[in-house]
Amino acid sequence: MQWVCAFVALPVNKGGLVSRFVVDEIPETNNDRLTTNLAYGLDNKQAFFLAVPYQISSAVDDRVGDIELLYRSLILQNIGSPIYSSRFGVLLGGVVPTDSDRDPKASAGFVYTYVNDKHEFDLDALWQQGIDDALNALRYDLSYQYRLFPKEYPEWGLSTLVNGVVEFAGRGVEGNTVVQQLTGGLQWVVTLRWVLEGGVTQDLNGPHDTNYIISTRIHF
Amino acid sequence: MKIYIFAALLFFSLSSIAKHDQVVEIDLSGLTCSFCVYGFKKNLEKHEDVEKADISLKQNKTRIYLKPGATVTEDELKGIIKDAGFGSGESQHYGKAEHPCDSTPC
Repeated sequence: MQWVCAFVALPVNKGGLVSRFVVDEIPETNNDRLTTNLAYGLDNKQAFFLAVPYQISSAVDDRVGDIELLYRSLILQNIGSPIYSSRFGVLLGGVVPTDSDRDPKASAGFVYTYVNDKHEFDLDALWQQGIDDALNALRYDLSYQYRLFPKEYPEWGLSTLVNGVVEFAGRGVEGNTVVQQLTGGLQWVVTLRWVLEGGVTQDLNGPHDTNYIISTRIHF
Repeated sequence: MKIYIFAALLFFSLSSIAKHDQVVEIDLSGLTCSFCVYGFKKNLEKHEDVEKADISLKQNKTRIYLKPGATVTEDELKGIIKDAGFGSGESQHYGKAEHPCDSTPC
């Protein structure tokens, strides 16, 4: 599971499936992209993630991008308090090319999430090691969320929720500058199983200025 | 006519109470993510003995309504909570005579 861009170290229930559909702009081509993300909970600590990007507005035939697979294991958890939790997980996986001209990558990284009542911090970093001619890549995110509404949870059940999100991220491919980005967004938990998110990303360096990202998440 | 209406109301009231023969409340820890509540609730309600489960993020507890004749144990319920990735603490059991319908419709 992810916030606007960052990974989170929160459990996916055993046998649970979460889908997330993200529409954003590919900076290099200015084309819109739809990325389908799936998360599946193996047990209370382990989950699988799959991401399949698809170019919406493109003249090329090869619209499906490389498939990213990740396995996440929560190896450290502090859940002893009712309102506080912190979890640390390792990420292992790879990128499977959908075109024979491209080579695969192996991925390794970590993710950390700290939640205290209205506040949530997430930190992740992922290294992608290129195999054969594939270039190495690095991504990292630092994310902060604040529950804007409601100020207090109801006695029982859960009403709609709105969170404000600020993220600082870096994305880099070997031989190029790591582009640092700042994202501001809102997350609307419409129902227990349906979430809408939107944000604006500003590049802090590099040639690209401002991009948007919208997504919806459904829990099965 | 009034007798029939009274009898019908009495029948529906009694059957409503009988629906939840036992109620178990369990303290939770680590359930700090609102989006995690859905999977947690779903896992609990998947159990054949569980009629429904309510969650209170404010009180950090779950209230589990069991079906009549339910045989599920407290340890099994706590196991489901653990499988969902959260911690459990003290629990309280209620019979229908002391049903805690303080703020949730029964």
